Amino acid sequence: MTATSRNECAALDAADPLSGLRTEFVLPEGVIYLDGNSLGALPRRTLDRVHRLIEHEWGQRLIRSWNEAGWWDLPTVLGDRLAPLLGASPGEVVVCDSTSVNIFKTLAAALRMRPGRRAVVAESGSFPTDLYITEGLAGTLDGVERRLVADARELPGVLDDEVAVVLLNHVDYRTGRLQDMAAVTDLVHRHGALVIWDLCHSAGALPVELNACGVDFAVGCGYKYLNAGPGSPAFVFCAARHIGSVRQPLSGWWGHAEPFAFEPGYAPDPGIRRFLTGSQPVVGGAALAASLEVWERVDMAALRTKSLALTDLFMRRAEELGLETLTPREPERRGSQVALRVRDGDPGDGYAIVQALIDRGVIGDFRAPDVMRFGFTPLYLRYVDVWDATEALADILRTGAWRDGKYAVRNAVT
Amino acid sequence: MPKGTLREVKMEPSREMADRLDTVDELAPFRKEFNLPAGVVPLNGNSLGPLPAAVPGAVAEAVRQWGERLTRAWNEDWWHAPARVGDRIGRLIGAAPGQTMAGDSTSVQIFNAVVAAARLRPDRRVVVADAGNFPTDRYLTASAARLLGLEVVEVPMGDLPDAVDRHRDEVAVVFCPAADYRTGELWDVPAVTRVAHEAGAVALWDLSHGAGAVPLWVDDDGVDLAVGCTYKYLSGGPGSPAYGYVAARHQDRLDLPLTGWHGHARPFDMAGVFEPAPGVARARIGTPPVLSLLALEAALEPLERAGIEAVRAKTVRLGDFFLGCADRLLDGLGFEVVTPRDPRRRGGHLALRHPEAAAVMAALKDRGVLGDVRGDLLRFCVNGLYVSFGDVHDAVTALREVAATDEYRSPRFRRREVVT
Ligand SMILES: Cc1ncc(COP(=O)(O)O)c(C=O)c1O
Ligand SMILES: Cc1ncc(COP(=O)(O)O)c(C=O)c1O
Repeated sequence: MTATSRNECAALDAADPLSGLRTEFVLPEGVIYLDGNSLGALPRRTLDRVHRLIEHEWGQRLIRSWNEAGWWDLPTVLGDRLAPLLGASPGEVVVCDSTSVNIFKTLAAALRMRPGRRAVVAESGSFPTDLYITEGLAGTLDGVERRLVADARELPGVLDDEVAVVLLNHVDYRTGRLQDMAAVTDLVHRHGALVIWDLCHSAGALPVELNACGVDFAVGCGYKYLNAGPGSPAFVFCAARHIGSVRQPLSGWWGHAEPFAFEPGYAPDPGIRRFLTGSQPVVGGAALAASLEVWERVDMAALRTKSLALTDLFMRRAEELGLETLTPREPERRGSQVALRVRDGDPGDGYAIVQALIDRGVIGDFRAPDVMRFGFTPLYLRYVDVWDATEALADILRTGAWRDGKYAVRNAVT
Repeated sequence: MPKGTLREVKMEPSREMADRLDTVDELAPFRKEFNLPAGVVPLNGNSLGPLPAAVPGAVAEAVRQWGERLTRAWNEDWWHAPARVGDRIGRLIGAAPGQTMAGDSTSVQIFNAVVAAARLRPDRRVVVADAGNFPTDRYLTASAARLLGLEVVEVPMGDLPDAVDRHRDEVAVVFCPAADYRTGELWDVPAVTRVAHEAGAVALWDLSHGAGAVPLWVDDDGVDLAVGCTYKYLSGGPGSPAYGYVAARHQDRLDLPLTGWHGHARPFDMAGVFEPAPGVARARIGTPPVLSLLALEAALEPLERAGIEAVRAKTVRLGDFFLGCADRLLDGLGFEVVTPRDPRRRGGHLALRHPEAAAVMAALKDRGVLGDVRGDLLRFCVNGLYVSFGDVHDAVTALREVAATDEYRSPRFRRREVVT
């Protein structure tokens, strides 16, 4: 059931089991933030946690904090705390580096597990870094072939006994389309290949069941739905059944079995730490630790219900305004974001509309060539926010305010 | 080099002498620019530099930007931070702007650099590297070599010119650290770079123990590629982002294996094919750790203002004073100085060998003297930016008491910590 008035939205907010979480976040006055799929909002408790890290752990305790404050163990401690959100078990997740770097590690690891096979499959519509890293890896390893498919529906046509690994985006960064993780993983496995899921747009956006789906590897970032801050450390998941035998090429000292023995040769840690490379930025780790405290109070089923209701409301209203929605209507195929396009418009129109919205405090983003993207984060968004955002959108379209030349000026980051 | 003071210091390495030297020390005011805990002697800045007083405010500001500006902060500030911070680090290592990029860990930078360096010499298959380099450098060189089918020849620095000569027609890359991470011995960047170039190889340096400790001139010395960490002498904080230097002449040919979207020529075109950004921007990979990066930016300021030459000159004097104190106070207690006494061959830290190094250090730490241990070596970093002559005297005195009274033999100093 979709709300048809602001009052109905207010009633939904009053009944929302997640409504108490909004006060956990710092939200700027006058802003409706529909960009939490790009950078999640700041949890209040992060302020104190980061302050304590800087002033006390670093300032007062100095190197002693590597042991005392648990800095050294942070990548696995955080990984274990993240695991339940991903449907993973303790010891299967480690927090480190960027998603891009982690894609490199897992791709190379998977290739090494299938020595007779030299093909890597990726989706041409996946987030660009997935494609670029695949390209860079294929250029580094001898004889690796890269095959691209438009999306998972084309997989049956390319999966053969040459394919070692398939890299997939769980939720499409542009359209918000959610893939059937269980079915696709199963398909890939039936062809003897391994699968890596990029969870950037699903971790913290919806319940993820990596182990129930039999997934081999996954990667994702901490700065979107998980709210861990700009450039917070990313994560790697490796199924327990693979950890003991897998090897990855960014084999730095942090992944060594005995890092403080300073041995001349590399021997991997027996556990998930073998996916680590070098020293990790502890400030980002502390921010993730704080944001995960918020997640401990979240019922994922309630999160999903609200997320679908918010996106549904937004899509219906956008369609009423004559915009084209690129996001699937079926709930089981939708992530937590909505993509819109101007029917029969110029590619630049979407960019200008997003800028005009930002000018009115409704923050979404734009993805080239022509997609307006809006993320819905049930922890801090209300139904009335969604309603008000669509009202602003309606006004901008009705008045043509977005046609003002100042909204066409491109920034470095869109 | 202040040669006069050297002799003067060696005559009488006492507490009074320390106080006198501190009184006339022009860098003494910089100590206040670091939030040092009371009762601590901070001699481990070669592992983790102390907290610069400007950092808490800078991090609070970065968090405020996140909270209030949200994604808008990317355009307003963050997107340009890796290059901006990179250029500032560049100045400290003698690099003109546009050649240094901050980001990722040193280890990731090493992998990227070794592969890219080897690809600058595609017809050559050998990497000659220091056998005493920090382990992560060795592990990642081995890994890169395995992927590219290269042979790694590891030799001690003293044998490196001969090894390069033996492989003169096949050596692609010479990879060395600015200083030995254990002994603190400083290597000769221009001389070794020349050796590499004479053999037609690319010179790659790990400056982790050099940048901020000693003046470096990567441009003038013809260094090809370099990497380094920022949490030691640059005080960027635990795990702060590393950096990579790529000499301008190589940038447009540089073929890096880690091709992330931030290194794309036009990342927000969301194009399907990787097109490396012109210049050093191609050395970016994924989204950088913004909070840590902005902490690092603020941390650089005191060092920039003091000037690396002045810091180095004081570090040398602190080192001389340390050795003078050690000669006088530690005689017969089982310590051996392993760092060269010639200040031109010393980096930023000094190392003493002791058979019970770990227990001695545990006992020292209990007294608030912070150094660290690598194998049987005790390491003490005498960073002229914030370490005083009094600190050095206190540290050596504590060492004497711990060793002379057998205090370190207490069972409570036997416990092994995870991180040493
Ligand atoms: C020469 C050198 N390189 C690299 C590192 C560390 O690498 P990372 O920053 O990736 O942990 C160290 C750490 O002590 C080092 O001494
Ligand atoms: C699917 C996906 N993967 C990766 C990334 C980003 O990778 P990194 O964290 O390395 O910048 C994004 C960012 O938007 C993404 O949407």
